[in-house]
Amino acid sequence: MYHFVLNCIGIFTHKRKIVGAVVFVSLFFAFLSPTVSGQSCISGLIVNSTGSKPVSDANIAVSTIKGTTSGKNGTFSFCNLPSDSVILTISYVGFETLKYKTFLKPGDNNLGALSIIPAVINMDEFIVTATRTDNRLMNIPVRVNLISPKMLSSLPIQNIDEALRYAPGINYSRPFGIYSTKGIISMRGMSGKEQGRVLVLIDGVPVNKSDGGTVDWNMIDINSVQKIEITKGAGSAIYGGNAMGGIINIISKVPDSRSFLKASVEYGTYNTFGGKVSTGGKFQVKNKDNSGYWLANLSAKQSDGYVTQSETDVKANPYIVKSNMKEAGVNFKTGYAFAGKHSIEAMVNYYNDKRGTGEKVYQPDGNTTDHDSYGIIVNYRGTFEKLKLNSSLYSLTEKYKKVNEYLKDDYTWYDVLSTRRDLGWFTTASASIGKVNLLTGGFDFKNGSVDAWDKYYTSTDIVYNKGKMSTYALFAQDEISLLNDRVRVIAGLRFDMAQFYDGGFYIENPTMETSFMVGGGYQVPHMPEQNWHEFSPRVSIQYKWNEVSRIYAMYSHGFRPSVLDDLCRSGRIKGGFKIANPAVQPESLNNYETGFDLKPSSKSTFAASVYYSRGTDFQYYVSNGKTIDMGFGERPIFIRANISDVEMYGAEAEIRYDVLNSLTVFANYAYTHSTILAYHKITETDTIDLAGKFFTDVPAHTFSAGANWNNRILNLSALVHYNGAMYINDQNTVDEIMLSDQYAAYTTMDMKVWKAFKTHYKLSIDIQNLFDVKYYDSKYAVCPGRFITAEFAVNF
Amino acid sequence: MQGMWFFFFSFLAIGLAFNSCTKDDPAAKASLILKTGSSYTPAGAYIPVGGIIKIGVLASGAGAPLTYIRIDRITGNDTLTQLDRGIYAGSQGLDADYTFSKDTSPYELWRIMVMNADRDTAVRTLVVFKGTGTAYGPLNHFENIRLNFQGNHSSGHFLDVNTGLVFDETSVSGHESEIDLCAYYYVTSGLPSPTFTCPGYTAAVAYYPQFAGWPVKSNIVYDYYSSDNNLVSMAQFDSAANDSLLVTAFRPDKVSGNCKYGYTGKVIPFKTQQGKYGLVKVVHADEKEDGVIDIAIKIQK
Repeated sequence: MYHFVLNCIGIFTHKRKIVGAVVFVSLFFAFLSPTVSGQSCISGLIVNSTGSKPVSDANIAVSTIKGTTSGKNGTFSFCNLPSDSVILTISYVGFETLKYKTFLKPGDNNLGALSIIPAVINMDEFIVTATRTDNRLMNIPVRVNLISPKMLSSLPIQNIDEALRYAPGINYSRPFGIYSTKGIISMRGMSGKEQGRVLVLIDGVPVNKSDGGTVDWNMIDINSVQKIEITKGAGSAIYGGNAMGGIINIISKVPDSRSFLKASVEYGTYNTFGGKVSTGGKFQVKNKDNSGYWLANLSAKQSDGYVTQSETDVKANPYIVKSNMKEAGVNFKTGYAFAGKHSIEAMVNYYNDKRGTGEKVYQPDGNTTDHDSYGIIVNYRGTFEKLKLNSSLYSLTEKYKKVNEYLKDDYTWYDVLSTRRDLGWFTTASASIGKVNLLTGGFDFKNGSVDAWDKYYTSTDIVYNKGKMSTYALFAQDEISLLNDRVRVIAGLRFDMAQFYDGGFYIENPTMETSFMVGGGYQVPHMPEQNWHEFSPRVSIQYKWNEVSRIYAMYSHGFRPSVLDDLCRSGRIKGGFKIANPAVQPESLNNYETGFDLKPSSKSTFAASVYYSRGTDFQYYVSNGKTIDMGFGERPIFIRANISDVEMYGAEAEIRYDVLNSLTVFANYAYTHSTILAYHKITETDTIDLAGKFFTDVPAHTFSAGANWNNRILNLSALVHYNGAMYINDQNTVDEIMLSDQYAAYTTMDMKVWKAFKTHYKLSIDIQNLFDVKYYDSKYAVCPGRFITAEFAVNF
Repeated sequence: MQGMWFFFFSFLAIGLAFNSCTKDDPAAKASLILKTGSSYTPAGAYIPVGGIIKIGVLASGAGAPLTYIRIDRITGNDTLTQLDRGIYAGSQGLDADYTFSKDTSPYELWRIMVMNADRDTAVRTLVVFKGTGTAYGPLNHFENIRLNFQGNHSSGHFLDVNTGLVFDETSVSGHESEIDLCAYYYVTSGLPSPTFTCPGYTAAVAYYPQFAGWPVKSNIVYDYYSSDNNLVSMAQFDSAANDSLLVTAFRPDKVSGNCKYGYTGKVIPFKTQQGKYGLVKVVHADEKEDGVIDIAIKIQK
């Protein structure tokens, strides 16, 4: 007689009915099986629960004793098992792991058909950034953090970069909140002073400007964003320049209904008010394989602002006024899929802002920055049998205007007018070779240019700078899947070749404002061409012991090319004068890291990583040993040069727990250590030595935690962020204004409360910096403090 | 196919919308005339070395504010900028007088240029010749002047360089328009910096908040070049019997503006808002906010 004590431990409760059916079928077959005395054998058939097709190569493990894989027809069997209670663990990539407890009698034990259920694929967990191929989050041996649509909608944020601050290890800087001209996001120990060491993409297209490496985060409409992928560690093997610390890919939305129209208005602190309209829809044409969509977002906001300067500055300068802002943007996206295998998408953006920077003498708006930005992105995706092709064309233009006016000895008024263009063509092709390899290759072309002039109105001077850089790159990558995907290896190599050309710096009609730049060979109307190249490898490997737990290790290379501003512009900087250096070379970095992901229960996840990075030829401003008379005395001349070897290491950990279906909590912590190891002077007269100094604007400790509670009465999210102390200047000395060598650590709490009612309406209140902490960030200016906005939205 | 057309036209329409153009307004024309009359130097005048050249300017931006004035002295192939100043003169235009000192050149072309916010310029010229003899004038010498820095309230801060009188925070009342010079102390780039300034310097209000309420605030411009390069020694200062050193030491193309470091042992040329040239000798400067600075002044009578 056979006894079957059958107990199915389905780890995914929402599929209990299917598992129950499997159990019943198994039980039925088990009772029919003949009785055999002696050793126990076990056999069965693995089938896909949707369609009952046999599943080959599934892993079957009996407790910790034995393991095998299913054959081509889905069957399996093995013997020499003790007559005892055992647990079968059946796993296969893309399916939920099935745990099956049974009692083995001596002889054959045929379990019959065992159905495994396809994993519920959350499309939001598909990652495209890390490999430029579609991959599930857990299939990439790289640390990737995801800001999902659900999380995004629960964050009290005014700008999209603010969403990133709650992710582990993100170094975030936006000193004046919505009044900041720019925000900076860095990671993995990179200085929070420069955006250029982290690559930022929108739908795979780079948006760091070639001129300065900066990103205009203000122009990205929160309404247009679906999710954000944060890929940690050097990623130059796949994306080339700027991807030293990591890659941030902002994935834009596509409509999920036939038609929709949403509108909202908001009002808040400092007389901030604005509105948004979002509309779009999907459409189907006669051929069922052809379909399309369109989507349009419009937004506008303005605010009276606040005084960002310190009380001392306000006393010293009677022309200080509130820093204010107004902005408007529109983006239009449309896509068309045809023949079931091809799709083309196009996106057009336009954005304009004007932000007052807090000083007004005679000009109607005082000192302001003004961005007039527009961009076009066209993306094609196609499938040709085994080959998948993805090709993107883009053109991004920013017309930047900065009005400078101040009254000290006399009145000075000049505009900085700069046209920055970036365009490119990225193409990726990938094909599976057998069951093991997914080969990816492609080429990238980028061209960046700047054409800028400082136009004085209180003198006759016009100072010009211009330059262009073209980058050509080839890359190849192999994603290798071994042992039924338990082991995955990614090996890639990229070659980048760049050319700097058409560079120039010169002055028209110089007066005492700029006469100090006229002599000394600082004017170079036609700079020599420069070329450089870089190889960027990456090898990473992971071992998964189930669908949700893995360990990985990675080596990768990253580099950052020189920015055009350093190559072709001379001018004033804080503490002196910098001269253009067309010969400055890229800085590079080798990154080693390892980490693991665990899912101790169905409700909790835990992930951690440690990394070590060693950088060479890092670019710093260094004295060339000379001084220049800038109209108020001799000041040192600096030049951007490859003079530092640096070291960064740290650790990140994150835990997430679903306390209830409606309540999720998370916490993350990151430790960072970033120092300069060696400082190579370019002249003996340079008295500065930065060896052993810490990076500026890098907190050693950051911590974030939050809870999101959704219920019938009210939805609530509460978040806490701790930002550790950061060194202020390169020499780690006491700053004369801050009277300390570090910006003080600070903790802020943010909240969002929202409620949808009567189907069409939604009211939400965002509270940033609930306890009104007056912290100083990377500038000598105080933050906006508590900032509250209320938004009312209608879904027509 | 219908969807493809929609896709194409919507994309085209948006692209065209972003390429619309605007028409610039025509630039406003600046205008400039030189004042005439007995108090102004006429064209073709013969001025002895050290004599005063007085130029009166009436200018308009004609719809755009005037934002710049420059006065150059051209002698042969040399051009020396005597005044280079950003201004903001709206619809009222610019009505100003400037005085300079005749140097040893036999022939000087003075070029006066104004520019408006549309960067349109207007230029006038004036020719003067060297007259016979010299016209260097007498000077006033004020010794043993002690000024307190901002943190020292025991005596005076504010100096009238024409009389050598020092006023404190109370006694200055009613004399605000006469004050040309004061001093403060701070640390910059890690260096102790005793500094001369004037009520008209914007940032001076941080050290002397009462400046904010003064109805008239005078300006001095200091020449940093001569003092930083020790071109005027203390011995030269002490031996100066007329204003020739005061006039020639001042390099108008090298002024630092309304503030200047006043380290012990330095001699600093300056020019007052009334156009008087002078020298200030720093006998001793403390290096603390509640300290003092001891100086001597020589200035044109």
